[in-house]
Amino acid sequence: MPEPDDLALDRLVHEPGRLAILTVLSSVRTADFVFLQRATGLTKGNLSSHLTKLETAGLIEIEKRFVRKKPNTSAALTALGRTRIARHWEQLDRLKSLARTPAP
Amino acid sequence: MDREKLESAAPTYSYLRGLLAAPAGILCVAAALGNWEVEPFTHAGVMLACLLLVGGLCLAINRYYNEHYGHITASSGQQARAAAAMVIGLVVMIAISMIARSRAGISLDLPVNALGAGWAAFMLIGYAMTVGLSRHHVVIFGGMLLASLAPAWGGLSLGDTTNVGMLLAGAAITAAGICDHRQLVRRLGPAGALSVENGNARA
Repeated sequence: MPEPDDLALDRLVHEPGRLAILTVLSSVRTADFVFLQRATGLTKGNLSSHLTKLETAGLIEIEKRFVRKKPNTSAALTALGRTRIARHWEQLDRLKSLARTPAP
Repeated sequence: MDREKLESAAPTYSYLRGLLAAPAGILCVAAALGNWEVEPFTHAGVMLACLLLVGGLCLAINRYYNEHYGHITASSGQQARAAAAMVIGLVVMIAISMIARSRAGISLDLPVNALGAGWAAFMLIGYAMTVGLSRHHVVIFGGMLLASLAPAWGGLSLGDTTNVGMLLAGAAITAAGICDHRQLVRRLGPAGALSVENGNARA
């Protein structure tokens, strides 16, 4: 029987909005704010708030620049971010397989 | 939460920017008409104007996508896969064109449309190795491949066959591009202001 700590979920990553952001970023080098908003369906305010939290925790890097005089924000996973999101999905898969295991 | 949908959103995005195919389709048609000496496409100035128009359209469409759907940078793995697909597709396209029907010594002079078959094979390989084949890719490019390989082109000269192949290629790229764009809209929503009020994560 797995220890309780083995099943503990990463609370920072597990929030649905942040999980969606990190999952999208896990498949590319960088994605800008508009694309992340499209892919996750989050509002501008929500997305901005989550990106700030993730950047503060060191899971993503944010670059801000101007493109045609308009501000453009793009994000990329850090090495820590890649590890944490991969581990989180593994954890969820483990929980799913445990849930399917018939009780003794 | 649909993990697969989230993970595939960015890798497929570049390929679903299908409106970018329309200018390429226009260029194929213009080139075929020029080869057939249809006025005014026989004039170098007109062809240059077509090139400039196509270039301008590509820039405008690219800006449209960047502004409404955003911009991504593909991972190294995706870029390598795209490069490999391009190389393999080109080799197959050139091989089919040269061997099936061409002025090359190795040509089998089959009564097929070699350019059409080669181009269709190139597109099918490209999509299959990068984002996977959608139903419309199979229908459009698979249909073009079958039509081109049908032994019914012997009555046309090599030049005419090539030009028809270019017309088919232009029509096929444009049609597939429109379908790709519709798929993009289904996945990421219509262009226009993103909803400020929508607080639900799409996934």
